[in-house]
Amino acid sequence: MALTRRRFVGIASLTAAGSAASVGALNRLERVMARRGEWYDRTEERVPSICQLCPGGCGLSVRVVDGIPVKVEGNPIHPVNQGRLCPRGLAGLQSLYDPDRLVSPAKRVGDRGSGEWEKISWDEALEILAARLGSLRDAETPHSLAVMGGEYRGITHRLWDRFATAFGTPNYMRMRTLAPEKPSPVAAMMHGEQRPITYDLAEASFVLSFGCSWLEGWRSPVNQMMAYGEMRAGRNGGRAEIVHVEPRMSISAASADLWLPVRPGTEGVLALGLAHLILRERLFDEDFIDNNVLGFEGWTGSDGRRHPGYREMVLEEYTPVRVSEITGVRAETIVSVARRFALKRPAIALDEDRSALHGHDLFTRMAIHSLNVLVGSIGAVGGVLPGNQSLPLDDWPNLELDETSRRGLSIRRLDGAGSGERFLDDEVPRGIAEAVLDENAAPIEVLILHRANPLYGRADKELFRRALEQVPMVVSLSTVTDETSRYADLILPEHHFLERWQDDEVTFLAGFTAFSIGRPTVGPLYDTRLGGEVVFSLARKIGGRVAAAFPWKSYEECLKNTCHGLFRSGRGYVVSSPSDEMLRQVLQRQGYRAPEFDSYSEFWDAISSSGAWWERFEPYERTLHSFNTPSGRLELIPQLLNRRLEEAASQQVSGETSVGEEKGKLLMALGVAPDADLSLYPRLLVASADATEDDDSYPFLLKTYELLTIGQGIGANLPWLQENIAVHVDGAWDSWVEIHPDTAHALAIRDGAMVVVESAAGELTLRARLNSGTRPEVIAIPVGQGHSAGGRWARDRGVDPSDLVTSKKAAGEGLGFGEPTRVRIRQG
Amino acid sequence: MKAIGISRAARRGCAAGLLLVSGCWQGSTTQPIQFNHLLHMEEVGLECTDCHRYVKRAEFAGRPTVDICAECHEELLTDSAQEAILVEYIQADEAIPWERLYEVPDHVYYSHRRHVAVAKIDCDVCHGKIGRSDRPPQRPLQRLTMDFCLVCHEQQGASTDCNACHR
Amino acid sequence: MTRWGMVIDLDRCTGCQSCVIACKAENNIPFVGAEQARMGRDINWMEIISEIHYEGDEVKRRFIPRPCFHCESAPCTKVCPVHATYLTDDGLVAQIFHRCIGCRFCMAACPYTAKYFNWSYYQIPDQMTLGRNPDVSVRPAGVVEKCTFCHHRQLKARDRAAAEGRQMMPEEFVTACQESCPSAAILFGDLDDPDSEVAKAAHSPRAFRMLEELGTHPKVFYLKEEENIDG
Repeated sequence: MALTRRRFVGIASLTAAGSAASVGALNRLERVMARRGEWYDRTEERVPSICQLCPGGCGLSVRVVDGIPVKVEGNPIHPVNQGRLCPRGLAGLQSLYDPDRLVSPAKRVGDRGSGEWEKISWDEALEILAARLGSLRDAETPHSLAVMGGEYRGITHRLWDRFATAFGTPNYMRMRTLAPEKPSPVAAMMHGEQRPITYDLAEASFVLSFGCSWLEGWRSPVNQMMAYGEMRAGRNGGRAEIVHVEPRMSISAASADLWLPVRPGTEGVLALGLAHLILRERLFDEDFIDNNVLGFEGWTGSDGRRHPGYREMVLEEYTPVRVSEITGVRAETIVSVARRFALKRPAIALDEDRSALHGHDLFTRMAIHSLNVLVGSIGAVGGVLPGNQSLPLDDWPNLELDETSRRGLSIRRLDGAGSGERFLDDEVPRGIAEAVLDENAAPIEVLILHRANPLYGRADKELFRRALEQVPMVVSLSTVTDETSRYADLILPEHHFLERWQDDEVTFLAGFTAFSIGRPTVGPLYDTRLGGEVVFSLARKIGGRVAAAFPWKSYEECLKNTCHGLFRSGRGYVVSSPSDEMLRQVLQRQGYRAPEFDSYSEFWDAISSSGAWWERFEPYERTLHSFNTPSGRLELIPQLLNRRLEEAASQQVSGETSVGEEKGKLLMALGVAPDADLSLYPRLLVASADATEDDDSYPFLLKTYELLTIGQGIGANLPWLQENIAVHVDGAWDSWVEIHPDTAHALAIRDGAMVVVESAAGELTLRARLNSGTRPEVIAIPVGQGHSAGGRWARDRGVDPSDLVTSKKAAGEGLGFGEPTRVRIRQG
Repeated sequence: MKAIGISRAARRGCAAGLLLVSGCWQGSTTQPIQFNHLLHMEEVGLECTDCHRYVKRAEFAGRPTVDICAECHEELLTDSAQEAILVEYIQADEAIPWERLYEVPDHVYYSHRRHVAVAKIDCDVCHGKIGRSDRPPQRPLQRLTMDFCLVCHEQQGASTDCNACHR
Repeated sequence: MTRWGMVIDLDRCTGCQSCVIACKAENNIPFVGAEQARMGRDINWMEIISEIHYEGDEVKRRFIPRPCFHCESAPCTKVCPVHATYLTDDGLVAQIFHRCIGCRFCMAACPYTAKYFNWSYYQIPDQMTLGRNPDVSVRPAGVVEKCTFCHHRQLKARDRAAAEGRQMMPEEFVTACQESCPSAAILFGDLDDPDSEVAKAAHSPRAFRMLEELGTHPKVFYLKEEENIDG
């Protein structure tokens, strides 16, 4: 049969809007639409769900009228958000009814990126993929499958991890850029803690944030904003004070009591400047430091050399006058902030925001975190708490691997994470792209992308684009056609989060852990499938031990089995109304614990209709004498850092180089001199800040930032958010660059005029917005716009500032939040 | 502070406007089954609420679903051709595409529960003698205009504030 | 007598816009698109007003959420030629959309720019209309609309209470903005009930009302930001 024109379809007809003209069985949406206007009964129910528009883990209560979701609200009994919700979550319903959602699997028929597709059935799509994967195993090269996942956690992550292991590839990685999914390495180095440490903001009396936009994003914005409310007027124990350090006046800075517009890249110096005052005036918590901390005073190492301690170095190098010169913050301000920070305990210094502050990122973070140590906030109510316990979920049956898988898994990961220059990283997405383009590296035959979109928002997207062209088979599993799915050979459309069973593990918030469950609020509107069930179908088609690794019939069954541990553990509670909760707490304090459910099916019914299980940790115990560090103490000068460096260097050594030379190379990759001693990091920081050079050809520094509305681009296709994109700037449906009025005046740029911002990496044309909330030499552009795909409201709107980012470090880490990029501006 | 009442003339003007936009009242309505209200009420002895189950419980009276019909009509009870159509729907478990006869515009909040369960208004007052009809009427037996609502509200001493019903 | 009112604590507000989007989702407020938005035709029953000010040489930014103030002496009600906007017995400034003739006198009269004109029939893709709140009517082109204090929720709550033969409890009637506010900056309730949170907050020494000198007597109070005593 000759192919008719009809079978070749543009990408538009793979979407909901294009499908109206399609033939064949009506999908659910069409049936629902046909029914509308009929005489209905208006039954109304509330279905628990989980917001997937950021990793915050808010519980949703979806109002469903006559089987149709009509509003997304916060789940009033969910411990993360207690009924509250952020604008992105509230607009989430618009993504369910997005006319540009994918409605059917498709395979590419035209050239890569040409956008010519043929609709196919799920069976055919999975058959194509499984046949290809099967041939990789037949050829004994299972490691040439790479799976790249985006922002998700819980069972979906465990399923892919298990699939990769059973299949035999070490190349499963995540493109995570957001806290808490990607905790900073500080906890690992100083506490020996792999889990993210938690911050008890609601109970704090002083919060000192170093560029952490905790009211616009970060871990769980709604939970943090609730804490902010608690900290403000009217609470028992008085109003907390908030100081925000950042070159630009973010929303978090504007909400603080004091904004310190620090010179970019000198945050760590300011932190140690504050530490200097605290040390000099002996305002630190001596008791805590004596009992728990290593590296505060100098010591003599096993080599007989004397190391200066933290105290000595900070007192020596960070006098207020010098720090003031470097950071641009007045010396009096440094003195008064330091005193208040030390005296208004419990106090918290927030460091971790996104992926990288700048080149010497790790030292900056350690410097900031040392303030928490000095004032004894570690483990204190209202301070910094150690990582939460993991959830008592059921383990899955043991994996039995065949010889093919075992051999595949023994091959080194392609991204080089954990070794060489990447010895501090656990995954480097960029590494996969580099490996694909490297002729000497083992080839990648199949790349599966699940909610990962490397062709958007990354400074290295061109590298990924070239790499995708080289990969013989690219598969995209997503709900909309994003930038990357245009390059895919096979498109597998996924259910929207309101259409599927969901699960979420929340272990990164102070005081509790939670396991959330979301039920489908409506049946799938189109011919889509649940991501986890696609894994099951693939495994089944591949057969053998891979199939045996997934004994579950459906995602729901897998979820139900996994949750059994929550019931069996006898710990925690299914969330319930405030009055029940109160009674339970009273009983618990008196030592009673009434078993609430007679059987697991009762427990399951309760958790899946209320939305979550949770376990509280209170009161906090200050028995922290066991840190998982080499010394068993909290290490102000981490030994682990040097140890990891030595290990990485010795692995790199080949015939021609010595350990010393390799170490030098790794140190340079960390942004310090090749002969630097990491145990002297407080000295290195001030030296590197001093060495920052000005560049006359690029006189300005570009800071990119994330808006609470469209975030890293996930909200860009929600029209309500586009229309109310920001409050500090009139920027609806567009991008803009924020310029200080003095700077703009000098350049003769008026508010609203088009300007060209240029860096060594490229140039962008966009509207100028004058804003006094920034340092004169710093300009700022929000991320999240500048899509070339992703639906009608996201596409061709504004710019993506990652096009300007030059830093290699930031490029490797993700969305260019890192080191400010040097730019110049001219009238457009 | 007292809400200012609306003059009757203004009210009429408004009601006339309402009629113009509610086109469905002008046309005639044909139902998929020639349901006989009279027979069900007089001979079988059913109450309105036996089939319109939400009348006293919710804003909406509720369209009888096939399940309700199936409680009696699982199989043919008579040799009526109309009943045969019904049984087909029941056996196919398909919703009967009843045409809506009475409808208030979406900017009016109307609650059956409030009017029937609380104020004890008879169904007849708004729906006319539909319970005594032996075939579905082609148009509403009582025209529901704002004037009609307000006359009753005034007689009963119910609120005549616009905001009490409009949304 | 009930007198509905609101207190917004500016010390708690972070300008996150949850209230703005919650209001849009609750009240079927259309997005108008880039072109119309550029002409200033976007509709925000609840809007965050933000401005920079200086304290000495220190730059400060403040956020002020602005719903309709439901003024006791509302200038908009006095100019409406058709009784489409008026003060109800329980203190709401009603806006009867289908009575409005779109003359926009009330928009000109409102000193707080809380009223919005619907410039056209805003078309949204068909499937998106499924997500509309069935409790709120969609306003036609050519009428003025504004915040109703989620009046439709009051209608339902009252109906429920009447069916159960009791008075409506104040906590049964909450607005969508109050419900969603992450930092709990918004209080809503009966200003005439001396025991209500909202009445207590309205009498706080921090309380003020916008442009009080105009004599409009808004029923939305603000609590001003606080300074740290030792700051």
